[in-house]
Amino acid sequence: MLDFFRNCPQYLANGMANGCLYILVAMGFNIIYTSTGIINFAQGEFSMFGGLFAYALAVSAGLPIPLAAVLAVLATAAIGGAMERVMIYPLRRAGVLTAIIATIGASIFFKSLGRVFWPSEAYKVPEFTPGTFRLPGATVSRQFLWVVGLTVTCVVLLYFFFNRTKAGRAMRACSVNRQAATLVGINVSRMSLYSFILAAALGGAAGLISSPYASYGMGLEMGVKGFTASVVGGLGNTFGAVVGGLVLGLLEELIPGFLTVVLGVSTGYKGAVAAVLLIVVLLFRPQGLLGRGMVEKV
Amino acid sequence: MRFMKVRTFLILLAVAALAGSLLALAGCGGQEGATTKEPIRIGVVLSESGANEPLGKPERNAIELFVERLNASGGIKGHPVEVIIKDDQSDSNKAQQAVIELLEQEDVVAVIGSSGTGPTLAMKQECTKRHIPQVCMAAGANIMEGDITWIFRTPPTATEAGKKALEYISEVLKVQRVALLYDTNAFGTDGKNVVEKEASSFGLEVVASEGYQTNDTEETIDTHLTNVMTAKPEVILVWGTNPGPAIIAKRMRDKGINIPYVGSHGIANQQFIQLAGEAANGVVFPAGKMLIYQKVLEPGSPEYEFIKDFDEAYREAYGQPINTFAGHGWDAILIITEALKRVGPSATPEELRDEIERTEGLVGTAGIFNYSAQDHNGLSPDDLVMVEIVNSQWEPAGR
Repeated sequence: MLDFFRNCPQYLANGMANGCLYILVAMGFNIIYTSTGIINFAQGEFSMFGGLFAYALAVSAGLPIPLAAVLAVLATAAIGGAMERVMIYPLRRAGVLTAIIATIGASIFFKSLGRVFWPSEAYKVPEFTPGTFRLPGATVSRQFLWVVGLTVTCVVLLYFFFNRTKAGRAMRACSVNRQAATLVGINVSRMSLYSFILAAALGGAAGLISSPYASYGMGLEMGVKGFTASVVGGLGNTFGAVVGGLVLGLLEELIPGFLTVVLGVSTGYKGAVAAVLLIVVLLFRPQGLLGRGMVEKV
Repeated sequence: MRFMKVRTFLILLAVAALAGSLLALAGCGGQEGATTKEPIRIGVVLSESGANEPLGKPERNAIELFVERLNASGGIKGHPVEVIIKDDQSDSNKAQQAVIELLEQEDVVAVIGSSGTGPTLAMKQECTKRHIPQVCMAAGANIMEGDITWIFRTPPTATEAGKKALEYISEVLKVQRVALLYDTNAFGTDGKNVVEKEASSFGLEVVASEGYQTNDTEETIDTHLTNVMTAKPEVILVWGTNPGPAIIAKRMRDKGINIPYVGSHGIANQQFIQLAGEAANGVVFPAGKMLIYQKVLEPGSPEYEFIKDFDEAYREAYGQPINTFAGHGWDAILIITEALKRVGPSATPEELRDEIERTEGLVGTAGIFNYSAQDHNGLSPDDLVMVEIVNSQWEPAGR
């Protein structure tokens, strides 16, 4: 038990870092869901693009890291926009379910694309600031500060976007009632485009900052964890993602740590934490922790 | 006079007969040089695309080069060898389809394949049913479960590598408390099973054992490292493929954990050194001798000369350095053709299978192959060496 408490600072730091990534991905799920009603299963692949583009620009092309990171996020956002125009827009009259299934197709396509250009098991994306620092009971990489800082910045910016800008308010209006939004002159299809661009940018940022390693296969895990976080926080509740991401990130470190160190059960299947949490939340609080009761729409 | 005439006649006759037979011989020789005898057909199924592409491509290169060289030197007793290569796209169903086509339409005497464990198992089912010898280049432990009559393999498996690593920990590092971190994919799980089963026979104790997932983030893997460190191990044994082992090496350095790091043959590649950077130094892992053959084998020894020949031929043909997978392909075709040379070019699949099983002391790129009725893996822990990364270079470890 003592060992467990001694490890706790490290668990909390690790959980925070992962939680921040889940927040970024989960916010992407939520933005698309609120403005279109679509659950975008290619969200995890945006993170893959973010990581692989950052590698290509910073390592293969030799650009300075800040520039490479910005360009990688922009390129990923462009892919998000292109996906919306090429695939989602033509399906706008076909119903939400059709579009959701189409996103599964996009996810497979993106992953294959990643594998064609970056076939190796992993690529090292340079850290913004290499090195680590030690806190009492925990060693944390400097990248951790960037992860937390970027997440806080994104959350604050999104808050202002949704509450203070015309485009943000229009997107929220779409989520409340699409038909009414059309009637008051909001261009719903343009909002759908914006939401994909924004979600792709967030996913891309999570991918390039996440870990020093990117690979074509990383999208699935990012997608599953981000989706879980968004459901736990309340699907469609943009800031529920913050709670959902942190809860998932922390529980994922604390529960296996407790099982291993205190009970001596060796558990290699940490992924089960996310699955169990998802099932428990869906059974007992389907609207999510901060839910808006939007789940019935699905 | 009359007598002389008869004698001259007889001599002339003998000379004519001799000339005739010489001409006939020469004719035969000409035929043999052009290898117009019926070809021996061998089927090959590889993963040239899909997830196992990095394995299948070099395997194909090696097999084609081997056959080209063999045929140029007269084939097998004058019969050329013909390989029919099919791509399974790393997919079990496609591998099964490909092997059925080879067996039904191409009339092959043996098959090689595949690169990965899943497709190999699909092929095994067909080859076992139809009684065709199969030599695979995949290392999954479950391939050698059940009926192994028709299947043989070339790469070292978790069993040989695990024993080699445990032997190093117990005899060179001389420590006892082992913490195991493994990838929960098939490669890592095979290693974990071997390590947990064999540790006690080397006088070692596995004090902690944790599985991580291939795409886990650095922080997630750090938690596993934190967990196993609470058991106060004296060495960390990591069984996985990139990038997990690189993250663990980096984190151990960041956290100032100074106990030895022993890896698996899954990191016997340049990519690990690139990913782990500085943190790769000091990491020790088991690998085939081919990886650093100039440093661990005596020039002039059969193994050294065999690998050197392969290295030079491969470099010349493809302009690329050899790698483990090219070696597995080279060994697979070597094992079949050597057996064919012994048993004869017109052997039936049954005769060929029996002869492959009698393979003994055959020098290949991965080591010295010895098959028996009980063992179709062929290699032993002695065919591996422990390699240490020093200044980002591979060097022989310990000893």
